[in-house]
Amino acid sequence: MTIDQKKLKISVIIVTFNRATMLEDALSSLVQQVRFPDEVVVVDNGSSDHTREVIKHFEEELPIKYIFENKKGIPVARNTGILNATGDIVVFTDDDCVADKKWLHHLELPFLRDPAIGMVGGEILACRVKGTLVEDYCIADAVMRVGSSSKENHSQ
Amino acid sequence: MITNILFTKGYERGYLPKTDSVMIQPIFATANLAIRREALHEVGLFDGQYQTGEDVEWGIRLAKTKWELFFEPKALIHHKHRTTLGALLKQWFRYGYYHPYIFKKHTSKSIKIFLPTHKGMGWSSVQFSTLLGFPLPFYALIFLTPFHMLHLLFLAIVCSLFFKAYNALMFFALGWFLVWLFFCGRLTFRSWISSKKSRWIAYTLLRYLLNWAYVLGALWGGLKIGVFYIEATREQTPPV
Repeated sequence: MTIDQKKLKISVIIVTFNRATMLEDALSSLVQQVRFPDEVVVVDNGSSDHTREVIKHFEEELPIKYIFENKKGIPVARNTGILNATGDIVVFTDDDCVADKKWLHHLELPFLRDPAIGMVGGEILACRVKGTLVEDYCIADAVMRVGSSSKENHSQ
Repeated sequence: MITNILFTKGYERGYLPKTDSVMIQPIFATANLAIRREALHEVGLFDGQYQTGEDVEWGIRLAKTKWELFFEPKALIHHKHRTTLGALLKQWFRYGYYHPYIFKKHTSKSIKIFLPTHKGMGWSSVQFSTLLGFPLPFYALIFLTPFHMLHLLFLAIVCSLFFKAYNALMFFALGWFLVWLFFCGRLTFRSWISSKKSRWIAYTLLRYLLNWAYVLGALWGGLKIGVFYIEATREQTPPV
């Protein structure tokens, strides 16, 4: 199967609010993508922490478009992201997420394969950060959802 | 919508079937979704009315178009979940809170009652079929899950105790036991024998509390906009 990887332009949209440290992990995972994003729209929904500095730090490694949206609300901020994205494929993830290296690659393939596909979604697994009982519950629940208890979870 | 953002899927790889029921549609969470620009033009922007649930509403809108949804489990996102009980309860309350709004937005005034039907053992195999649905002068959506049935029957038991109606009490108690056996028994037994007991009890209790947060969120969110909404709960406890 030969699929032209250059055919589609991919914009990734991340909305963030006062989660600079987590955002750093999220953006790092985008730097490592096998299928590199063509555009990364980061919508800062009024952060007062060092979010701006974190984003600046990534400006050389990623094609980042930084947008400050003062109007509160995640859906509103995501819309701001959409209006500023120029890609053929618009991808959403969150500031508290870490993407697998082949994440974008696997999201893109179905679009290339079948023009009838309008939306592609991927798997969301839980990762262990603090190891509390509540977190363990969420992890176990996610594993159950995937339907396999042998699936490895990402640990930080 | 029946399910919440992070625990919706458990889908198999492939195309997701749309259903005839407006409220029961496949969705993708905004933590991990991609949309084609042409489809985006058709679906439109997110509804900025509420703080969460915008992806659920999007899924319902997309289901009305010709576009297909494809689930690719290899496209992996690792999500940092809530780490404290308070934060998790608040999250589930908010999930529920938004759903009546979506129901009101996408249906006409009517009552709809859904029953869970299991296909297989995992919770992701739970599907919903319509038990009742007809027009009414107001909005009502009820998911008659085991959680609700067991509480209703428990209430009936307490009432019959109060009125000293012991025959009725026996009837309701038997009903309670049958519902439990039919919907929860197998799953409870299976996870009980394969679990660390203390963990299992903690997880079951947590699931119970989360269900309440979810139900109260939806009930409260619904009443505020004139919708009677009984949320779809989940009974299974994850493996320990």
